[in-house]
Amino acid sequence: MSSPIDSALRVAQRGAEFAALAGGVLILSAAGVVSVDVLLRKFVSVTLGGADELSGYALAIGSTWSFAFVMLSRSNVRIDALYQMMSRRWAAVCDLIALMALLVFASVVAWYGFTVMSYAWEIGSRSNSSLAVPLAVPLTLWWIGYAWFVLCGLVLMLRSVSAMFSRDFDLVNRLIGARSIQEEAADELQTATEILKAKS
Amino acid sequence: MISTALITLLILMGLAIPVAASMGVLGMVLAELFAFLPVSKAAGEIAWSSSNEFLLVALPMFILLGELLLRSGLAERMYGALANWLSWLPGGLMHSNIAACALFAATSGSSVATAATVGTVALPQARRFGYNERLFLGTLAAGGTLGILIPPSINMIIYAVLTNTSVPKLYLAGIIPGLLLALGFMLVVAIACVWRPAYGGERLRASLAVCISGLVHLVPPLGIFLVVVGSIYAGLATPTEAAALGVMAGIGLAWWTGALSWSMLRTALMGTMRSTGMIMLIIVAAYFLNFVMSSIGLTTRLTDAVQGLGLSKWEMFFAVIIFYVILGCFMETLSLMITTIPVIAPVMAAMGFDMIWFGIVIIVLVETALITPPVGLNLFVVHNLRERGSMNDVIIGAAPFVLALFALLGLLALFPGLALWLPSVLS
Repeated sequence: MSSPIDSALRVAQRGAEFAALAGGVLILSAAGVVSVDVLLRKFVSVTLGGADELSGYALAIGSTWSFAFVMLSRSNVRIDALYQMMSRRWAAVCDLIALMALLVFASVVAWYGFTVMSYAWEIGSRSNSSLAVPLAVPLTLWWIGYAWFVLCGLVLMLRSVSAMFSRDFDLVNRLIGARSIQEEAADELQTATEILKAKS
Repeated sequence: MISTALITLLILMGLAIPVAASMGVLGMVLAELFAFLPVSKAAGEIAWSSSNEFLLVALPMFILLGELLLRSGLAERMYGALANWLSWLPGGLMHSNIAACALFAATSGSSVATAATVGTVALPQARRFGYNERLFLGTLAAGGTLGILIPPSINMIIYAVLTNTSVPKLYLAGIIPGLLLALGFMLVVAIACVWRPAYGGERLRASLAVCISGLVHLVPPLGIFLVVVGSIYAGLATPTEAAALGVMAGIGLAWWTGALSWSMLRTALMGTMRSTGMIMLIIVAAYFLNFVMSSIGLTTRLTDAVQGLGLSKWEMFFAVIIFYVILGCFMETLSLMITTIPVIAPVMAAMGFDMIWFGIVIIVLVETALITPPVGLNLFVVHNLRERGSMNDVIIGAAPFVLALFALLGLLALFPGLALWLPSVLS
């Protein structure tokens, strides 16, 4: 079955993975730039200047770019003490409320974040450092992460609500259910064993 | 005001709303109810300024370093080398479990990663050599918790950011308690195995030559430790810069062992961003909530209320310990730290506790939370490792080690110098 929502969700998933990977590459590059800066400072007494500032932007941008991926892979931390005792149906209701709360908060940040970003464009503010970075650039990249997060959340919401209407609580659980701590730990170990197998 | 906030938070978290969203929504509700100015408007500015903080950049770097080390095969060789040296003790390989955890902790900032990495290597040995499985599992779950006490430590960085304390000082303060705790864990094993010799399995004997030639495998972890921790005290790098150097060293090591490939790097980066995004969203929400709480005067009221209880300094200390031990049974540890420290740390500071010392106390309490049921991530990690048996085995096996953690808390209270001596000498 491939309704428009399903295809939209697939696009969201692929896009979110790509964005998270791009964020990871940003972080890795930041590690590279900072390391070069440290080594140059130590051995040649030359400083690039601004490596710390740039890596701060990398963190801000990289993390907003991974928010959608975190949501779609159900990795947000939830306290599931009561949740575990609920029936599938009530758990699904909680899942929907949880997604809604996440979306509300993300939208509020995106909304007021937009003001911050557009203000930076308007007055052309620059960072107070030797690089004098035009702040509008990192702010825009950062804001795009929130916008993408909200957009993916809306698609996920639509799909989950429609699953709810067709009373497919298992699907709701797979889409937005809380990962049990067992699932979490199993993941951690799967990586470890895969690595061991790859070696032997 | 306090009860409204508390009830709202309990309802939100009870409904299993993600911790980040709970804090964000609570902030918005409080702002709506109690603020005279539209404080929610600051959400954009706060989200930006809290997430480009240079100190926090260390966080994804340590997570990435952990992912790289896990894949570079460093743990297996290190474990083998330590086993040669330690398995003549009563309790045999269980001592190598703890020593391997302590050494791996010196390269890794995470307890879960430490337990998973060492556990994967060690557990097959338990059956092969006939160890008491419960105690063996306990050493892995408890030993893993050393990951955040022995520097580097992701949790210490978060504590430092939340309380404005110095990461280099916290790192130094963690070293002696970390080593003591490792010894304490080993003592628990030795006592158990002297009392019930059947607990310890077959002991391995290796010749001195084998022991010495194995030492070579301890070089990579010590090298990483020198890069990510040593460089700070050599005046070469700040904690974040040291973490960046660590990532480069991790890539170098993975290349050296032949583990480096594009697909490996891709998986490592995806794993890193999954954890980073999860933590950063909580941090952004926490900053927003803290901002709202202080602008409506809730923080002051909470602090006043706690101080109004009229507890003495040490009564307060016990209250805090009980509070964290209980909450730690039910909450995931990062959320536990981020939600409670901004409120509790100022109270403790006002009562005259040293904030570096208190940081170590918090870390030890977080370690306890990692191995106390029902929600103790290390217990689950180790349990999942063995594909059979009941979760209770791990819980029971880890229980004696909780005593060692409590003993360490007692020692820290009696002799604050255990934590504070190194930072005072070296800085």
